[in-house]
Amino acid sequence: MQSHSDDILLKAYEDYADAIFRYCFVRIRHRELARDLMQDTFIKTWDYLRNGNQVNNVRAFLYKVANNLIIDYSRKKKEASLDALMDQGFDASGTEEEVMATTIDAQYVIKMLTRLDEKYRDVIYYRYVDDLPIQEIAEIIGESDNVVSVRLHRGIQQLKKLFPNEQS
Amino acid sequence: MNNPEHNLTKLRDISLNREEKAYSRNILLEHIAHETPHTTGFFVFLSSLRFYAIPAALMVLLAMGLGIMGIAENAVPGDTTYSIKIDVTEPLRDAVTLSEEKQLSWDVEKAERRQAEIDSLALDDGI
Repeated sequence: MQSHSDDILLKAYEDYADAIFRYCFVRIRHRELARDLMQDTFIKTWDYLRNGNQVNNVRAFLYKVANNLIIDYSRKKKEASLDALMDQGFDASGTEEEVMATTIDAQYVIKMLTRLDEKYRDVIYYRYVDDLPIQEIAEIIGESDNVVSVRLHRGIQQLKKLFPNEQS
Repeated sequence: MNNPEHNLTKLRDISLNREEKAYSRNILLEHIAHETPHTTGFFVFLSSLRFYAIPAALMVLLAMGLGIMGIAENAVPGDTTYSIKIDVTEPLRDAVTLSEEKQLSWDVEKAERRQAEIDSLALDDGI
């Protein structure tokens, strides 16, 4: 018999599984690991709800959990830092179909993002990839709306400087 | 024209395929099922018994009490249960004997019991 927290979690999965997977994939650029991190994100969220805790904004909570899991994963990667992963390009262990499924354009955009300062990268991603409102981005990163707006502006300016020849 | 905002939207094409989404959903459902307390079958039966625990305990105590009182009826001075006979069973019978006639009859029976106890002790002592 499903409880209220089961209903919340399963609906959130249907609504946000793709977004959370995409967020994980863009950050770590390994499809299978990104799927695992996405699964863990929902499992941890269910555990949190099941323990009687309240979550006002499930989507924001999911992004926060996913971000923490990515950070933990990165710390455990002793042999390769995130920067090293960027230099190596895409994960070679993925099947050819999985790698090719990520278009050339998407690969280039991810490269663009990874060149950004970390404090701009996440807000740029949330706003322009997942179309999150500024208030929700502020909740996810734990900053004010003003800070988010400033970082968005500066992040776009930095992208234009890094890729001056980028065409629309 | 330099338009990174537009280019970023190309990442929206990155998503799970149908099999991946179904597989991960099953993983999640298994976790929920594994972590959720059992609410059916044998465990429901066991859980329902808690409503009967106190009445059942009282009945057991009552049965034990009645059993001890039954054993005490044949006790003689010196037996462990003799005090139960004198201090519990017989006073209880005094309390529930309402008519004068029945009280008189019970008094006679009590006297006969005392005599029977003495006779029993005498036999045991070889008197």
